[in-house]
Amino acid sequence: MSSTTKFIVGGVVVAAVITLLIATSFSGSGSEYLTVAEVKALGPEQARNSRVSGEIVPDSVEWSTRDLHLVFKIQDGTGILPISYHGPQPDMLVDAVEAVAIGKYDLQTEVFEAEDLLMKCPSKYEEQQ
Amino acid sequence: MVLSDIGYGALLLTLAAALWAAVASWRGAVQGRPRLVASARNALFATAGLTTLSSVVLLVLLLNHNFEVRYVYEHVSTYLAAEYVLAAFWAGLEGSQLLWLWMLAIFTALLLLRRPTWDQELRPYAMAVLAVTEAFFALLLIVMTNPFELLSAVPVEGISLNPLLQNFWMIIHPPIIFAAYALWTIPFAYALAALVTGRLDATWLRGTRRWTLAAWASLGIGILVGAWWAYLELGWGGYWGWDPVENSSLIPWLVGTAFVHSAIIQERRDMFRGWNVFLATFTFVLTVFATFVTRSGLIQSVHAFAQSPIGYYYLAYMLVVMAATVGLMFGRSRELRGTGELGDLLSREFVFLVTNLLFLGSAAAVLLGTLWPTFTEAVRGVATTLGPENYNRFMGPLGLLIVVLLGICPLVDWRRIDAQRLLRSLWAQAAVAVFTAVLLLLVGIRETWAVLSFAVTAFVGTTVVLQMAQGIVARMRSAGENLLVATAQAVGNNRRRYGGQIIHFSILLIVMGIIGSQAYQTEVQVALATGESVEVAGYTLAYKDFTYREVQEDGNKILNQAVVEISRNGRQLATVHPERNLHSNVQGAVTEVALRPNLKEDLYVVLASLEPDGLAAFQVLITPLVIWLWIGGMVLILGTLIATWPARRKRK
Repeated sequence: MSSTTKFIVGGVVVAAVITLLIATSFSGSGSEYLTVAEVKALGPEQARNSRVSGEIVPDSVEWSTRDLHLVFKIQDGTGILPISYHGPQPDMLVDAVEAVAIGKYDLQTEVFEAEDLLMKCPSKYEEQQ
Repeated sequence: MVLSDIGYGALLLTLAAALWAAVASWRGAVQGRPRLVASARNALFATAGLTTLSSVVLLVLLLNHNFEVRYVYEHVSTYLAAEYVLAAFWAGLEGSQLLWLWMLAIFTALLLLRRPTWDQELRPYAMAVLAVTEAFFALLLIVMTNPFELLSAVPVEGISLNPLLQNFWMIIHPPIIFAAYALWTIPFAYALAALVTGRLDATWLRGTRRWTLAAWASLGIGILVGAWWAYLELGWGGYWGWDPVENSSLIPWLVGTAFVHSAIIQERRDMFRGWNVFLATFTFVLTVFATFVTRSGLIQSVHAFAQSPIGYYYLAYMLVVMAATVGLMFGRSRELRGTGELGDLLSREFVFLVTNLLFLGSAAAVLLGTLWPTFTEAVRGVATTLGPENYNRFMGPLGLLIVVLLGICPLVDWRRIDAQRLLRSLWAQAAVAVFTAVLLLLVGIRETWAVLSFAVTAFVGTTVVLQMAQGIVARMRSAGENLLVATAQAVGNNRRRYGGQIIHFSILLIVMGIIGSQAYQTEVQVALATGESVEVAGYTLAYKDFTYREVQEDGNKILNQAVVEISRNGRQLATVHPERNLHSNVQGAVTEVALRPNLKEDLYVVLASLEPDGLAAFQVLITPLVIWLWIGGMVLILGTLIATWPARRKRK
């Protein structure tokens, strides 16, 4: 076998291993962007990580310093969704700001249990950085 | 004539001068008319002056609070501290594109200040490429994102700068990143010049080596500074979130790293000619892509992309650049064949090839991950985003493999490996690696991947240190010099080699910081009343006092802070003041973390909320070894300086 062939075969094998590794990292996970209505329509067997965003409903924010527990509602035109989050309050949590919640919808309590919260800066700001 | 007209007028003249420079340098080169090339050179010098004028005008407008100008209105206010006016300059799309153009014009002028030497034939073509790039950004600024656009009415107060950007590191992060992007334009310009002239031997790589290394290092440092800002300002205790904005600067860095390495093979063995041309172009295109991704809204949604036509300009430019490069490469396929022959599969050439594949594979994966929501939305109608866990799953193993190769590569010969010699030279490293692993297991670290990663890092670190020590020890023996003299002489005579090794060592320090901080972060969330305290990983945090205000006293900031005493084993270490301030311009609270770093671990305290009666919620994070990321960054600068420092002039 010539050197060139060896290099090509070797290179292809390495590239294939890398591709395989990347493919397995991407498959079967991630969180889907859903609207409030879509989140509420999820069946029990479909409860998986999703990402839902909407404006914070004015005067809906309730925060307990004692329990580090945050509850608020968001609306996106398709409905209103209560969100519950345990952890420190994110910066710039303000009425009417757009919030992105990543987590799972609890069918029993009808509350979206967020594992992660992001506040989009008010539109008058550019995206960060 | 008002000031903003001067700024805009300077941009118009920049476009005209850049277009002239492109045409004149090209025609001058093709028709062999040096006076045309000289005129193009003058035009490019003029763009440096004009863009400087334009930038100074924007800065003056910002400092003077000329709210009539939309960009000024949107980014500063009368209460914004003067030093953050600089951060405001590049906080928006308009300002950051002006910064890109300005940097490019300055670097182009610096390049042209030196008389052509090796690049006599290539330079006019490189000038044409640089001029076209300048024209592209000037055109964007003029027709799409004019920073000098006026509002119909003059507001009395500006919106001011996002408080998250009011940080020292945000003053310097964007200029470093954009300087890096502008610097990457130079190797790209010469790659195209090499294609046009057919001078595709390693001359263009050698000639642009300093620019390439400066670009590579600035980009790396820029990314680290951004990470440092995120760590300090965003208050979640991390420094890297695999956010599209972060990813988009990492991708060109990964491809650029592949380029820096495969350039070495071409210099040494005259292989991979076409590959290098492609990598230089691709890195440049990715820097443009980075600007495009963060500004076009493509990542948020395909629909947002369609709304703003600026994305199409970027897309068109990137396509033109890629098409031109690939087209020229076909035309030059004969010259792109190098003279070097491939060696054995077990050779340094092959290790370099695998390194290249690993870097490109990582870059492709990060790129794919960044565009994943766009793809899934286009294909399935529902956008899916990937979380950090997806990225870590491939980046962990790929990164570790790269580190392993970093340790093996210097021990492997060109053409073929002497396996016995290789194995014999590995015992010291292997011993250190095993010792590290055992030590970690003894102190109670059980995660397999963390132990493995640290052992690999120790293995490679030993290789790098031994490699550096060899030359120094040899000098001490043969010339009888003492350690300091021998080190200075060895490094001075082999700047490139030692610089490279120091850079490799800095990467290991950064890797160590990443492993430590990813593996063993301790987090506690707790609510405390004044007088109460909490124990976190051996530290005692006593909540002593607080300041709670409801009205603003200065600027637009309402200060709220807690006073926390930190002690360990009864010994008091420090008093820290985490803050959670209300900013009236965003009508929201922004936290300022309190940080107490040391070489072993960082103690990071966030005031998550504060009630009028003093009840406070804290988030306390202890992150091991994170400081080594920043120390590694400083070592990286040192290594780059050594590797690029001009050699002493030889006596004639």
